[in-house]
Amino acid sequence: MKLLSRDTDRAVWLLYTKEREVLLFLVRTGERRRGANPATDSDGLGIEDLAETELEAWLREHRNSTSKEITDRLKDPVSCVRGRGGHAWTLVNGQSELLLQVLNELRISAWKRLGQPPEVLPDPLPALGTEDYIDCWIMETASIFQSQLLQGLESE
Amino acid sequence: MSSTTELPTPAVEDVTDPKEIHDRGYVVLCWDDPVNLMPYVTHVFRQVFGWDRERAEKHMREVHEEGKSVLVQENFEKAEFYVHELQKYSLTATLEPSE
Repeated sequence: MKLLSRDTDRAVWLLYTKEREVLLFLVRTGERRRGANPATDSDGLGIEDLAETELEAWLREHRNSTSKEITDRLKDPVSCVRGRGGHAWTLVNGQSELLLQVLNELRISAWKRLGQPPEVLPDPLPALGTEDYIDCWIMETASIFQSQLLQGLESE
Repeated sequence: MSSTTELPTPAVEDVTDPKEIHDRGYVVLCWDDPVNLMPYVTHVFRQVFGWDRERAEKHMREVHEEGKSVLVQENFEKAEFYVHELQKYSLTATLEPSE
């Protein structure tokens, strides 16, 4: 993923064909795995906790709509134009920032499902199951896209 | 809420109006976590507060090394707005009454 051009309200990104497939698969897999997180139970909560629950619901709704907007944009042949060897993907009005949020949310959700491991991992590493490997893949792949996106956005 | 709401780009300015100073009774804090990438945190600060890279990196390092950083002092509504913006980026942000 590489920034091709940018002005005040739009950015055009080059996505190789395989990158586009991986990005779509990543978002889809991350959304499916997000369902593995237990829902918050608001029974018997105080006012502050209830406000927290409302905030969580608002953030969840924001993340769902953001994720859908990005996926729709990626599938749209007008905004994601296929060329030789890749796609020119146009993001407008802060959608590059939304993509950044989506990728970060995927990483954080996967990290939570992995039990919130610390920065320095224990040695030996705990045994991992198949689902854990999927979450490790989500974390790593999302961070690759995130780094490429940041590199483009932070370039002067 | 529309997910395409434009992100704010206000710079935090010095305030000379005494009433405004009085109203700015809340601080926005960002807390360290072991998962968010440092360049990402810097970028988010620049985006949300309109800071230059130097200022954003200073606060990012403070979060990373000291566990938290006081980002801005504002009235309740504005502080709450900033907290929500930071939370949209999955940063751990809270607001507290200033001392």
